[in-house]
Amino acid sequence: MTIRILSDGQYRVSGAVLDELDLIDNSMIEALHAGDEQTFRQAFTQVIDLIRSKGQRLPDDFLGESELVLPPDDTTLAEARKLFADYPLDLT
Amino acid sequence: MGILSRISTVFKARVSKLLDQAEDPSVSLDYSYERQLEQLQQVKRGIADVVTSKKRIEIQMQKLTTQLVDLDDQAKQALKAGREDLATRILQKKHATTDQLNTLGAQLESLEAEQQKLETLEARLRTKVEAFRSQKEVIKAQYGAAQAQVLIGEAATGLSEELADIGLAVERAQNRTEEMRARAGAIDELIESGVLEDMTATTDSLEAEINRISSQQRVSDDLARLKAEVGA
Repeated sequence: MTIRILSDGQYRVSGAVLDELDLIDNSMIEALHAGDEQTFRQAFTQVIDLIRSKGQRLPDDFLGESELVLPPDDTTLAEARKLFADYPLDLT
Repeated sequence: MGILSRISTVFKARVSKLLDQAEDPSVSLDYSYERQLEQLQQVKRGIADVVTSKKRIEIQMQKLTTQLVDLDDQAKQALKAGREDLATRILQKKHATTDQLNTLGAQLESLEAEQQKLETLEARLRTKVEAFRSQKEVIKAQYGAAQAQVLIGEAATGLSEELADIGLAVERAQNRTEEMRARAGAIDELIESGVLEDMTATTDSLEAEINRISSQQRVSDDLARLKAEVGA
């Protein structure tokens, strides 16, 4: 799977790493339901770190589409809200 | 992936918005070339904005640093004249100025990081644009029209994703620079008027109290030091 981290670049991620991402994703859903912002932030940082460390960084001249596009690692909550503002989506 | 894929959908909507504007692949090619040039210009403007803001902060820091020396001298004069109350007030101002200098230093650092990020993005965009151009030629030469159209379309989608990414990054950098510029404007006014009061006014009362106490401590330490220096 090709994953893009905005402001960073594209990575190829496969196999066990994807399973790990799924696990973290579940904890993010729980954190969202509980309104636990800190856990959510931690999980997101974990996602980014995992992709960077275990994924294979794609070269700059790669022109493929990404299956997953994630916001920059330093996205503030205010920025995230703004990003979602013009796109009605129930995130819980 | 529930949340991650939903977050992803939001961004992908931006990318497809870019592509929808040009469904005809031949138009899409011209269009993405136009977008590439446009985006490169935007990145350059973003970098220029950051550089301007950095210069402004540097000038403010120089002014404040000069003020610090002056304030120290003034406090010394006040003590020599036996005006400890006045010296205390001057030293309070000195420490507010020091705090402001630290804040500006941090802003300068974050602007530098922003500039570096934009420069990296600009370099990557150039590489991608170049790759797109050569890939397009290779595809045209090697495949039949129908398949070439599909392959070039895919490359164009990949490039659009990059353009949308960079567009967003420039937008963020500009918002941040804008915020800092607004704050810098306020500081300019304060420097002009010579009043640099409590910059921690927005913090909550407990923190304000702690700040006040630690500032008092610094002021009285400073006062003791100057007293020793002037032999008062």
